[in-house]
Amino acid sequence: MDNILEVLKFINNLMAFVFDEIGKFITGLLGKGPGTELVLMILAAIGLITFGAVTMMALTWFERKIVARIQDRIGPNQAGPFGLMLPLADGVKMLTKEDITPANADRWVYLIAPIMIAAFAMTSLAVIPFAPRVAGVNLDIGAFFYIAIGSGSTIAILMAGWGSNNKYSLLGAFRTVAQLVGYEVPMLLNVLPVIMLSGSMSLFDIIAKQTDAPGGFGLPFILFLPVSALVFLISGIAEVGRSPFDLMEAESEIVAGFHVEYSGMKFALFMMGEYVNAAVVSIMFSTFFLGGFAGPIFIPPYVWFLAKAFSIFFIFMWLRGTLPRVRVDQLVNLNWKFFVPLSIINIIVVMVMSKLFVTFPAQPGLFVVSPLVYMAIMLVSGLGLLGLALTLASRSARRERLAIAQEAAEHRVANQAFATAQTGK
Amino acid sequence: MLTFSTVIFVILAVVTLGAALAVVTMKNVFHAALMLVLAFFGVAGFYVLLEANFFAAAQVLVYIGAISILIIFAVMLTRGVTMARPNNEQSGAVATASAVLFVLIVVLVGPWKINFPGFAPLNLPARAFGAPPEFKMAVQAVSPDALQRLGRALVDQYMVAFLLAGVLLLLAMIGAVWVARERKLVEIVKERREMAAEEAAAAVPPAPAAEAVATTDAHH
Repeated sequence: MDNILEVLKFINNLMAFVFDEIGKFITGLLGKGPGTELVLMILAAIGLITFGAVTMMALTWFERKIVARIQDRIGPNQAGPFGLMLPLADGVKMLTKEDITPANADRWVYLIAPIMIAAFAMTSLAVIPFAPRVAGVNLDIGAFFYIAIGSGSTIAILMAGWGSNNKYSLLGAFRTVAQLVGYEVPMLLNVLPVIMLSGSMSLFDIIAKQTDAPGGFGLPFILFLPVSALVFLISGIAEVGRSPFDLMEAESEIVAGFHVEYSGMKFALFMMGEYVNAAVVSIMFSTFFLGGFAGPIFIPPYVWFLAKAFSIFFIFMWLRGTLPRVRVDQLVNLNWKFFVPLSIINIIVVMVMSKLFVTFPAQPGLFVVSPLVYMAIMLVSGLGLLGLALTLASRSARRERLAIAQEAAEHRVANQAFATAQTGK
Repeated sequence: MLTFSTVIFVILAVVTLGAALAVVTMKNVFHAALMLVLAFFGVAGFYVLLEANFFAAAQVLVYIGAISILIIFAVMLTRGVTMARPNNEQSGAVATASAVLFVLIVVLVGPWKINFPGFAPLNLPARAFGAPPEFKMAVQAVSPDALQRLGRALVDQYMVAFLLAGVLLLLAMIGAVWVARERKLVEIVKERREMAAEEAAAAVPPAPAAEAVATTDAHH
């Protein structure tokens, strides 16, 4: 029995063990010092970028396969078994395509934009917790770092849209500003309750708070913060510009928006940025609300990590395969008139609840309850808030619809009266 | 002594200052705005170098993610940006003022002792921060709970300033909503007409020109 446990523990810590051994090997090779640390950092960065590239390749295949199934097609099945070699074929295709720079493009801006977008996406990989002790860097402000870096890609998209010197690109860039800058707000406002509950911005601490570790709740935050989880997921999809919020590329309206003038590897960099960003959002959702890599011991943490991230990404693909694109006004209204007020009220509710009820006698609070009761209280208050908000929203939407219908009816009556008067004469 | 952080500092300084210089010298306003983004990045790099991670992230989020986007958007909505020849008439005065401020900051904050004949040695940093006379640039490790202490200070020691900043932002938001409020077309047209009438009343047009306008009007 002990032996089995030992083996399980070894498998669980395999990832940290491997990276520790690599670190020890290189330190032994070069000796201790700042130079060695720099080499290790560069190696870690290369590792993360490789992870990003491989993730992108895997996700493109996965998405084509799943969306094809949703649309009752077979999907890629020619290149290799199950079309698995398709990403490689794509890569070759991208490399061999003609590299076009429009004659009137703002040359440097046009060239730098795709590099920047991929670089920002890769930078946000740095704080991802893959397994216990395994991350690019364990920042004490990991959650905040992710939000901050995510805001940088807006600039890159603006540069692409402007630099291409194309009307459609510019339209895409303008839409981007309305969308990305707007949806950053609910994203940030819904990471805040997570930080309030866990008392830390470090992603490892956030995960530890959702486990049985001392001081932890032993339950994922999605049960405590249903409103935050829902709004974070939807605004996360909007933030990475995926369907049904893909207004900035919208093939059927503005051709492909900000990247209409890009071809070959530059286009591939845009795709890479988009997929890595989408992957990072799903990973962050699983970290904030599903407990990240944590789970029962018989499944290793890195497997949990991948399983949770892919499940969230599956929701993204599901939405992409089934929902039509929203309109610009719907997009903006949903954000500023629904998500932002809801998030702010949610923060206040969480604030009050977390001061009324605490799980440890040492904390300042009125009632000391067990984590399970605490979870139940938070869940009920969150769902109640969500129900109230949805009722109000549907009522106001109904009132709006009725007003429009009434106006149309009045017009019809007036037109008919006019027509009768005309024929009567 | 050339340490690793010195090298990084020099690179960051060159990038930041070069970008800042490009902001004021570039002819294309859009490029100037992008250079401003680069300068903001350089400043974020300085924060990282000072182990102030939170400030670095805040710098990226606020200045690069919001303020520079606002600037770029304003530039993009301005007609004829790339053809325009921005020409600041007061560039000389601005340059002089910047130079004077820079020298002042270096003198006041730098680790020097200033000796004026007949006065006691002036050592402002030492006085201001109660440091010993021999001002030393000591590199201290940032304590691990710096972020928590910052947060506590914001709701404890500096609560008034913090709340005032919040009120200021709220006011700015209300103002923005007021400016961008939905108005009836009739109101806007009325306002425009009033403005035009005021302008016409203020400017006394030369007589022949007015006549010419009148004749063409009559013609139509």
